[in-house]
Amino acid sequence: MSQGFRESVSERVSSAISDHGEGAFGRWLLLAPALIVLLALLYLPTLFILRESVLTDAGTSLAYYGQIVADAYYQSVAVRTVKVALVVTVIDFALGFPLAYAAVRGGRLLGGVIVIATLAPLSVDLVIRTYGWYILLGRGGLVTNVLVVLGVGSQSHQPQLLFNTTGIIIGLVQVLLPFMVFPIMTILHTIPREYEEAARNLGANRFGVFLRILLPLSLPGIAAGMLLVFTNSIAAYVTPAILGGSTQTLATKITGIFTTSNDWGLGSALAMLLVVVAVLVIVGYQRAMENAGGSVGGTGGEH
Amino acid sequence: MAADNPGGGSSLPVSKAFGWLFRLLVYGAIVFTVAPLIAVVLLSFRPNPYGKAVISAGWPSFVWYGKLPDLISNLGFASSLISSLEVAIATTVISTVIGGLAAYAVVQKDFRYSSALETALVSPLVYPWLLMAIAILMALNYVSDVTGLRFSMSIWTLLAGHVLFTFPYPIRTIGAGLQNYNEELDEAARNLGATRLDTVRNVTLPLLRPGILSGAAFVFILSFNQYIISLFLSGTSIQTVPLLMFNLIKAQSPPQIAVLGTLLMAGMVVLTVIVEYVAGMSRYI
Repeated sequence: MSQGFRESVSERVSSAISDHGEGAFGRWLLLAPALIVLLALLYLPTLFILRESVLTDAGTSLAYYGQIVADAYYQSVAVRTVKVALVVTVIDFALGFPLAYAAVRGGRLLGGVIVIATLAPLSVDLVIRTYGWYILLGRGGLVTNVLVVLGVGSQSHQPQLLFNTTGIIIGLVQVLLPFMVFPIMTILHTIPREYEEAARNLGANRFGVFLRILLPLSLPGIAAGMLLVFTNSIAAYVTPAILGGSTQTLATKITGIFTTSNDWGLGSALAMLLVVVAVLVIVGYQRAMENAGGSVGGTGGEH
Repeated sequence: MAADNPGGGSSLPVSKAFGWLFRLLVYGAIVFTVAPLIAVVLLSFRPNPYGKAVISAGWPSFVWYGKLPDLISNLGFASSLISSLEVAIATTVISTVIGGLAAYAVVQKDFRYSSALETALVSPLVYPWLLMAIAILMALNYVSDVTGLRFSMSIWTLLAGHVLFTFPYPIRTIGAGLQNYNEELDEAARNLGATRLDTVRNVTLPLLRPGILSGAAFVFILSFNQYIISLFLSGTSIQTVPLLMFNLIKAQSPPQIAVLGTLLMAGMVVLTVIVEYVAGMSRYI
């Protein structure tokens, strides 16, 4: 293509954007690619999961859902998945709030260290990060050996930290911690330091300042962080697949059904359980972000 | 440091205990988040191929790094790396363009529906990746049923999945840049005789560059590291790096995995540091 042609095309595109970008039509035109991607690859396809889940040999029925509800095995997997997600959410809050607070109030050096320590792992392949835990938590691994030295179990009966829910929880707590820290950090930045000083001057101790000042004011950020951690924990695949061994969660079970069998109807019905949770979380998350005064976007996921 | 002493001069036991608990949690959490990464790096220098000790006799040794060329050619690592780079680069271009255009529309102040629209546009950030993968799979399944054509997984299905989960990130970063954008600068350039193209190329784009670069970097890193969407949508002919690494975990000795992991980590850290230096990526988290 000639230089002149390219320039005239660019000129037309940029003038079209500046002429029409302000008008309603132009805006929808700019949004069109994103909306088409959303509609064609997310919203409609999610309806096809629903379709597959109610399509049985006997026509449209809820047979797959009935099968799941009646089966004690699926019940135990679902209960385990929710339990793991709740425990991970609570631990991540217990670790994430102090981290976010120290990052915001703790001076440049500590703040920088915390931001790097929470940010850096996000850029590393999840498989590799989880492999680190696989090494540390396994038999003869560093964590198990330290626990034995501390008197937990013995050399011949090492504590079992891998291939069970404990392993899944440890891995997920680390993988999802940034999604608790960042929303809380964002909202702590908006709370003036003077509030804490005033409370202390009036006689409140550290715990009182946390309970009466910081906690209520940062609730929207905490809610957003908890929702992100909870939903990502429920739908996480890589970490439970590597650290859980034969201990299944909903996500590993669903993936197993889709990749090794043709029972897509059953898999879709199980997936719909996660869809319901995800939709509730999206609505709640948006509410929380609006209360927090958040603008475009939010913090992303990690599964 | 203020954080170490939030209680000021208070010497109540509750306050003191709370301060210690706070410190324990903060430093414990920092160690906890970096522990698995450090374990992988240390392990890559272990000569003994067996067992789960991070360090053993003869550490540090570069023996596995010496065997890297064999490792890469024998395990199919090179072709996986090429597939991953192709997918990540294509995804970066597509998602950054789609996201950038949408960002331009969303930041207009008087735009109606903007709240509902925002919820829709950021929904892929919160929607689980596993469900996106299954949804696209079921949509293809439906289209196959209806049309009678057979669709098999290919680079196109893989790209569709990767674009879907990444395009909101540039909306966020470029949107942030646009919100702070001073349109008088454009007008000034135009008044001084610049054409529209000149203005876009020499004024608008350079000013928006940090947001564009940061968004592109987020997309590239997320796409390169994606596992579950690639598992469902890549088919049998394409094996990206995370898929390969997952399969190698049980087949290869720990230090071999660790060497590959350390190199991948180093690559991502270098990329992150460069983008952070050029564009201040961490501002957009």
